[in-house]
Amino acid sequence: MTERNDELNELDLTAWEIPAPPPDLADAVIARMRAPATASAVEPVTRASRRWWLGAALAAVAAAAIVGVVITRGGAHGAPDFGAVAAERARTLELGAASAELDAGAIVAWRREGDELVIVQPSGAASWHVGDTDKVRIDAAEASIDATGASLRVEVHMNFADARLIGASALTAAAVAFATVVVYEGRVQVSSGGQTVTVQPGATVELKRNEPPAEPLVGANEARVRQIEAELADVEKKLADAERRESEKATRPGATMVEPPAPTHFSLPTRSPAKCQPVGKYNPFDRSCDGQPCPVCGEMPTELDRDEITAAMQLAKPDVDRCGVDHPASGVVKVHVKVGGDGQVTSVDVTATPDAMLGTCVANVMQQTTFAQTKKGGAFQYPFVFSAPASSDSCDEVSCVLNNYAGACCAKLKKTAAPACDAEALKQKGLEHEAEGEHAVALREFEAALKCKPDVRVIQYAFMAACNTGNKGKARQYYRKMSPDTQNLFVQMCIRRGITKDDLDGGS
Amino acid sequence: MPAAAAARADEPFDELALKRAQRGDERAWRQLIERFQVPVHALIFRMLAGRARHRAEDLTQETFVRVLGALPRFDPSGPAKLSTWILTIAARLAWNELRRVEPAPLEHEPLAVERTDASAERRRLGAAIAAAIAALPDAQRAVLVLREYHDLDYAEIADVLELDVGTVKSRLSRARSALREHLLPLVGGRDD
Repeated sequence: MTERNDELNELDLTAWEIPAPPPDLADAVIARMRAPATASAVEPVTRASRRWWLGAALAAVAAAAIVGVVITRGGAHGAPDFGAVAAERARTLELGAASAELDAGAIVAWRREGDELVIVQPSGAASWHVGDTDKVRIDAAEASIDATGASLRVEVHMNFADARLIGASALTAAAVAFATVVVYEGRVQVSSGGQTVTVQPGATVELKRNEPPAEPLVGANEARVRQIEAELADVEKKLADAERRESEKATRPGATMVEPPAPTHFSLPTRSPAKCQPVGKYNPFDRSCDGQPCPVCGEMPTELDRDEITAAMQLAKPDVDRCGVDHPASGVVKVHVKVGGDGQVTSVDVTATPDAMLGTCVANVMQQTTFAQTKKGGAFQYPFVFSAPASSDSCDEVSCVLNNYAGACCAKLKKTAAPACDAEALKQKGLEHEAEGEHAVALREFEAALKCKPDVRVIQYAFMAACNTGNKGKARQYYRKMSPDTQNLFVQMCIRRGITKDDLDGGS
Repeated sequence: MPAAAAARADEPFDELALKRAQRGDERAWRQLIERFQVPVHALIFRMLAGRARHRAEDLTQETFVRVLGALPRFDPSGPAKLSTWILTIAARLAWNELRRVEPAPLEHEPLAVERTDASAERRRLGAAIAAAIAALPDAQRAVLVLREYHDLDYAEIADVLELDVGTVKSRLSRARSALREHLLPLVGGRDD
């Protein structure tokens, strides 16, 4: 940055307003990036046959021997409305209504039928993400999976040596041994063997040819629901404790963040539990509607309510945590936040803070937080409480580094710590290995980075790598170093790898 | 640039997302484009001085095609931030465009002298600034836009426009003087 011209600074140069970039820019760019592969691999499919997916999948399989293949026919809305992919290596697939992360070897064909996206996944594994208002049907072997507003993984197991069978007849193409469906979020209905079951988040169901789904899993999740409710009650208790501590205004040096109290509001109406739900947030499977689809509210809510604020603040919490680590101080940071109707924050005022840098950091986090859309937006005040960590006789190197070696236990460690190292380089190596799927190597790099320098984000990376390697011990170790909110955000990484929340909580 | 928008543009792109984008992950590509599309489009639009809006959109698209193509070679630990690197590519494309074509003169209304409400006042100011910047020679406008609107330092501007740092400084000085002279009625009006 260099000197500025004072005279020009008298003028608000931003008064020259620039039009927004074209709305379909990302689609256009990605289409151009993918265009050469499409053109060189296979001629475009120009007409859909009755067994449209079989033809597309066959072409994809045939060409997959040469290169990962995409065959598409674009729709007026930008996303291709008909096509197939044989993924030679892991890749992402964007279909507008849904997106998928395809594992290497996955074959997927798709076609739009009215407002529904019909997908055929004859083999391989893919993690699907379906929008809240989109309808997607995935035909996996002889099972059919209907998903709306959901994240799920579909694994179709197939002997690839017999892939030639796909060419024998359309029927044998569907004769895949079985499929496994894992639901991460949303509600998913699975039909197989003449029976339909609802699979709820956290559940897994195996699908076998000509057989109904292995077990009805709805009831099994009631226990999980109760567990979550108990956890929420525990969180609320912690929030109340934090509020009490705030009132005591206890300050101690060497601070880290504790749970924030419930927000205080300015003229914010509270709404009764969702007997109807606003447009844009519609979830037909909300439990508050007694298991029945909730009606859609006639119009957008007028103002932000407490639930919507709390939900957004929970998402912002990990970044606020980082502020506490980066700028340790004890006390309360109070922010007054104004939110526009589009859900974007229009202003943030820090009304109290024990440390200017900490207050600025929290304000920056708030400025980037997005809330639900409403007619008028809203304004509220929110206190974040930062206080000293509880003293402990036991300590480990990572915790001590994070707390700047505060306390007697850490002071002992400090004498042997501080090796000559480059935490950033180690983290970058870890990210590269993680991106390549080399999770165990990535974990080692992240751990080396953590020993070198404290970084909350690297702890999250280490947890992710530990989950991906299936290392329960390491996952538990880093899980404990995350805030409860961050834990809630990251726990699915382990659950999808077969490590349960009980595994992570165990031994505590 | 509004403070909030500036904060978002300067926010580091998530490192893991960058790695994924470098590997060709479409979701990460989309994330990158959505993060930087506003400043990139604004830079090109300003350097072209608001002329040929469709051309600005074409160049914005071209910028991201080139960015994604070169992304595997981008070194996040190198001297340039990702945001600066992307803006540099956009600026070079816009600069090449300016050197290739002779844009039609931009018509603009003479500055009104009467005062109106704040919104109308701001629109009038914006139109005046746009006209004044459009009236600058291309070389001066490019330097001014990169410096005043997009915070590139002298060395970065010199690199983008393939100039000496001294030339950048002198062109910036002339651009500021010309701009001030053009906008004198507005500046002077405020001092009344």
